[in-house]
Amino acid sequence: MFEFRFSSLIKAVLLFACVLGGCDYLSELDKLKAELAELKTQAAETRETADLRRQEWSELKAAKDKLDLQLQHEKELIQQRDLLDTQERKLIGEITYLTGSMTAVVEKARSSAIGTVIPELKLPGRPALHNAKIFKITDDSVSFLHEDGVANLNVKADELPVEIVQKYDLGPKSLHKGLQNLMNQLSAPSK
Amino acid sequence: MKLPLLFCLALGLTGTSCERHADLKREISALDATFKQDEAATRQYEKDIAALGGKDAVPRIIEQTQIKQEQLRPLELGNPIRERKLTAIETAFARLKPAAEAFKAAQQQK
Repeated sequence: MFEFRFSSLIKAVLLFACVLGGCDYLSELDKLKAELAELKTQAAETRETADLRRQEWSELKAAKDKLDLQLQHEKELIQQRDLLDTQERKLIGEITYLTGSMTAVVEKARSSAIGTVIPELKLPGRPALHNAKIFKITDDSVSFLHEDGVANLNVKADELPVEIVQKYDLGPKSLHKGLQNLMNQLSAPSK
Repeated sequence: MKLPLLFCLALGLTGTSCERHADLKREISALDATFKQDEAATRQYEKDIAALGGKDAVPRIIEQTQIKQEQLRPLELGNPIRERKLTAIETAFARLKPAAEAFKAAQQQK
């Protein structure tokens, strides 16, 4: 005959509760494990995507930075070119003005010297000319009519005294020639 | 005697399971944080990429850079040459100018 015992009931209830709790725990554990597995997959995918985007961004940024650097460099070069243009214009202006005025002064000095008589023209390394009358002046020489005839004295051969060379701006060291040479250099293309 | 033993066993089991449970939850929450961080980073990168003209812009930008480089070459080569030339002319002019001015002044006095 069945005999009811209170302790058996408690044991049964406890056992049932334990089984129920265990089942619930296992089910919860399974859910968490599934969630974790899914999250791991998603996290891996997201990490992969993030890495890919970072790589794309890095490439794009590097390319953009290089372009920006080129643009900055262009700005600097253009600025430098503009400064050179200004410097060139200023030089052209100054040299053109001085060359023009210098050429005019030299031409005037030379033309007004025609007919001038020098009583005694001392020459380097040769006898002096007496009553030497200037009748022609070129960039490199001066021609004289003198008591003994005609003399065409050349600067390059050091036949003329320094005072005459400087006075009429003659020879390779001529100032107006030097200025004209600078003008030619300015107009010549840069090498 | 069996009842307390059973009770203790149940309690022990519950404790262990709770700990395992908490470990898993911690792992999930850490992974979730990383996941969200990566998602945010991806979104930020996409925004930055869009701001820079999109990922397809790379070849175009590289081409632009190359074109610009070609365009700048004459200036890169020409500027220093011009600078040297102008400096040399300027120096020569600075040397000639006082002499020329003196020559002019001397001639004008006559």
